[in-house]
Amino acid sequence: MSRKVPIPAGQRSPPGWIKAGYLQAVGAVALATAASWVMFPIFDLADLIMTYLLGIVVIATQYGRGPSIVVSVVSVASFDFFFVPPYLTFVVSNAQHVLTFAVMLVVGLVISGLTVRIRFQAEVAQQARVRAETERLRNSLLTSVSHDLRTPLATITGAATTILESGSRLDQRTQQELLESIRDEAYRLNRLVQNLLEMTRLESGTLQLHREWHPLEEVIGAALARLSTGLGSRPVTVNIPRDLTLVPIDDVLIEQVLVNLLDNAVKYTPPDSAIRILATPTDGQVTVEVADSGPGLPRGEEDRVFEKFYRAASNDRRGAGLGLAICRGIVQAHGGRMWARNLAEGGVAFLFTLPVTGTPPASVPADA
Amino acid sequence: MPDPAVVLIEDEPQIRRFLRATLTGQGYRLFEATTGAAGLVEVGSRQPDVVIVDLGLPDMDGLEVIRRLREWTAIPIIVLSARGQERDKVMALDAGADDYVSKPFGAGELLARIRVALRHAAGATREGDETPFTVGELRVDLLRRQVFVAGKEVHFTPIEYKLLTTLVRHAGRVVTHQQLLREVWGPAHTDQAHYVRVYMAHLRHKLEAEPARPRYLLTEPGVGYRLAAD
Repeated sequence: MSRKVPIPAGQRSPPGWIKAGYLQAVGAVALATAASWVMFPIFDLADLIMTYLLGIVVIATQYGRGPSIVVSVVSVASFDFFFVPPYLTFVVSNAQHVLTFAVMLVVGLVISGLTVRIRFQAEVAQQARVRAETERLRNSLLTSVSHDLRTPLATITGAATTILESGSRLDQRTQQELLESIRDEAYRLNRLVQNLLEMTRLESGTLQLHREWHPLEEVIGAALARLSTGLGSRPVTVNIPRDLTLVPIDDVLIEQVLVNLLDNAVKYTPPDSAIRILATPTDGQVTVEVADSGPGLPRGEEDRVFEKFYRAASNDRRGAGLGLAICRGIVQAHGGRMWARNLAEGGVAFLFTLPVTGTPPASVPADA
Repeated sequence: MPDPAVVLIEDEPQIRRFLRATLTGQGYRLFEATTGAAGLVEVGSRQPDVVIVDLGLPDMDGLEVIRRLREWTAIPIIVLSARGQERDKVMALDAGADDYVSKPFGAGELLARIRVALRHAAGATREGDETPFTVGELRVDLLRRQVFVAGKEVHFTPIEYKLLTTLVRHAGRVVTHQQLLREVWGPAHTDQAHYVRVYMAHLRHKLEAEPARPRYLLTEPGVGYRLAAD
């Protein structure tokens, strides 16, 4: 089973003519007419015209040129029909009123023209703001990424040139340490590139899920194996009900989610502190929890940690701040949710749901 | 016996340089080719013990190199590929490659793969010598059809046993889901990948101290399984 993931689309939009404001234009005239009807016995015709003009201004500020013209023309027609003798006909008895209509129409069109232009200018300004914002984000990405690329590169370059230039004068232990830092920084660089690629794939919508039915235990096991060096001697407990259903997931991507979560736990909690992984089935989904016993997240930041380039502390330079954003992206592509919660007993738990949609495969044929 | 010969088909000079240091340092005789076409010629003339192929070559697809080699030789082929290209790895394995390493890889990882490949190639020529397979606390005696963990015998259903022995025959090497389905369930079931996963879970619960942190039955997500050989 393999399918394209629909990337979050905009909301369903109403029919075009409502969106464009034609219905609202007619509504505004109806309102102005109703108000004028009430005012008619007491007020002058000139005041009624003002009421109609108010409707024209409101529509012109909200919608485009089309509805503005419609509201102007229909206003003049209604005014004539209801309030100019002979009433309830479009016939005009006094030629003076024709001039009134003409002026009213011109005023209406001018007002709508002006407001439409103002609105257009406001839109241009808004677009410029969005562009500036995008530009700012792109710059912060560049700053962040180039810093994160340069730090390991600086270490690698420095360590390698040291060995090349004064290798024979260094003692065995120093050489070993330099070589180890070259290796570790290269791995770190690799993880960063991997995360950047993953983020790009998620954002461009080219990520394809290859969903198959998997036992979670296996995916968790693969993630733990990939991080075995980083986990070292930390106590890790895994709690999965023995009869947990298979889940329809892309195993490579969900393994990546688990690896990122475990990697975070390793980075932000003291060595030897415990990590718990828990899977619980609930209605139509499985909830997976990865909990550590470290310092937890700053209060109120539980949701911000999933933002791109977020870092727990401003001086923390251990990652590009992409890991959790990628996790959430992958989980959402699977139709699940992801969130974090500080634990009363200390530490933080990252939780995500995986919907069990579709029919699990018919049970595996038993063998004697 | 002369030192084992390796033909390396790789276009990146930096990777060739590092592999030259690693492999010659370990006593392998190394022959290098920078294109698929040159590699095919090199394998034909040198008759090496192992071939290492990069999947991304300038002149032809690494997959094509594997297919052409498999037309006439069973020499072990190890593929160099990048993480995130699991489909390519599966295709390379299904085309006849024996194993893969993901770039970037450490020297130790590649050397381990080469040792396993050499062992399997040698094993194929002395069929019938069925000394029990042992790794860690696990011992599988194919002749007596007995399996022990820490000296205690473990019992299996027929399919579980067949799955385990298939992995033992490929010990240390990655085996794809397709291969396992074909060899254990037969060619009619190759679209039922979850069979393998469910039975692997059974095996882990019988053999592993911590089934969620397996020591023997390792998963390679998106590709298949590997029975640890050391």
